[in-house]
Amino acid sequence: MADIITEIITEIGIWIAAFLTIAIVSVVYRDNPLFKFAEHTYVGAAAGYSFAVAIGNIRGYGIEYLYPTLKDPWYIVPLIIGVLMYFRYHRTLYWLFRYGIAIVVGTSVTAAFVRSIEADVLTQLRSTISILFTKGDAITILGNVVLVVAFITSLYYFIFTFPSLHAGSLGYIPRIGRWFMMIAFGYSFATTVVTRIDLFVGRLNFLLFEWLKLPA
Amino acid sequence: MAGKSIIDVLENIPREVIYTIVLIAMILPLLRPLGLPVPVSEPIKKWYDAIESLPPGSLVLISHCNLGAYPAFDSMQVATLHHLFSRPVKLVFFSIDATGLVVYDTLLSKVDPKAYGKVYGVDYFHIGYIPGGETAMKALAEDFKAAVPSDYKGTPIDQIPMAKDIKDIRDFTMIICFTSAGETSIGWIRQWIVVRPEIKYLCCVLDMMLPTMRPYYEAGQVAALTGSAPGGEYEFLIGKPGSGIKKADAFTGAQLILLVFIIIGNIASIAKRMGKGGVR
Repeated sequence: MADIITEIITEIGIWIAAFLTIAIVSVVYRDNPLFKFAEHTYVGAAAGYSFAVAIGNIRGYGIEYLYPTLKDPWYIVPLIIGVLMYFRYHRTLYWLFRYGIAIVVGTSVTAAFVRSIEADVLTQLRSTISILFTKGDAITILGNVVLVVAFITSLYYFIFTFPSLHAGSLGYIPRIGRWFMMIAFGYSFATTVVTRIDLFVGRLNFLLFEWLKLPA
Repeated sequence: MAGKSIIDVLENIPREVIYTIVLIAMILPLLRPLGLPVPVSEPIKKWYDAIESLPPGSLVLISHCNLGAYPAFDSMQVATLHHLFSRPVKLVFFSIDATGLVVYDTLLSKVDPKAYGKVYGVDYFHIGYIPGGETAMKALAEDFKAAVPSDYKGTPIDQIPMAKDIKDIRDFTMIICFTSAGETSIGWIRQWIVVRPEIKYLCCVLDMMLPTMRPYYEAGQVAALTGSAPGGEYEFLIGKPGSGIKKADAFTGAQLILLVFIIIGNIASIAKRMGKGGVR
């Protein structure tokens, strides 16, 4: 009996998912009420789900450390910071929410920034410079030289402080840099198209074989 | 059509027509696979080799994707799990996004760990969703048990046998990340790889994120980098054909049609610019 109920619930879920997928995709024809309904359902469901998860997190990472037994009193601090956020809706004490925001943003930015210099700047620079000294066949060496030229000319393009660096025969350098950047943007755009196709083929796969149950 | 040149018509093909043709180009190969060859690319080979070379008993952290990106990552994630479960390694699942837990349930409905003799809590477990993004990654690296009071089912971490020996980042051999968010794919480098470069980082991102991640791969911070699209190649490599191989033909069909439309559009545009648009 339980298996049959599970199967029915699963089947209802598949039908709802199929309906919402078709409704969302219908926007490629034009904006329509079906799309609006699916869009609002998605936002509502996501907000509801996030709220439930947030409640779970407040309990798991805060309240359970304080009540019913006091395991670690320091866990009162994040709870207070969280409560500060809601002062945004208070007419006179709204300024308190800024402290909550400041602490959250400050901690997150610091966590990312401290390691960012090594991860995003120094390692990349070392890699780009050392690439010129890498041994390999002619194609590899040519590729490495192109990479370094692209790096230098693209960087040069963004030197706007001295207009003379963009004038006369020096003007060829940023122009070459712009060409490299255009190629990079083309690559980025192509991969964006690939991603969209990938996502859509995934949904088509669901519609054809999980919803319509066509023979694979 | 009267009074319009061929160039005008080609330049202004209604989008409904383009979408319909692309849709047909995707559906037909899904229903009747063309059986095009599936050559295994270098990134997928590296991905496979990295997992294959894991020493027995290695601890692997898997940061899986969120629900919105699941259709793209489905085949890569399923194939990776098949491969990992077939190896004598231990897995810790983690969700950086609140909706990720639904993805985990879906993945395990497709890959049965019991079929590989794996037991929850002994060979693998899920630590759930931890809010905070990079701060959560940092917390996991510094003190695993403080960041993870319980698993995703609410079982206290002390009651999970394989969690007893996990203290911090030094216990992990590999991180495998599937993500549609740049701050996540780069966040693991900042919070884990910079601190402990010995950890192998396998990163699968949406294809549109590849240009952003490529410099990290070239710099050696990522051991294997792939987009989500070549899932079929990986399925082929491990001998577990699934949705990825089925999608590969549809993928090729859509790309070829789009390529034709791009060429047509450009020819029409160039011809018009050169003043040859008067052909009736």
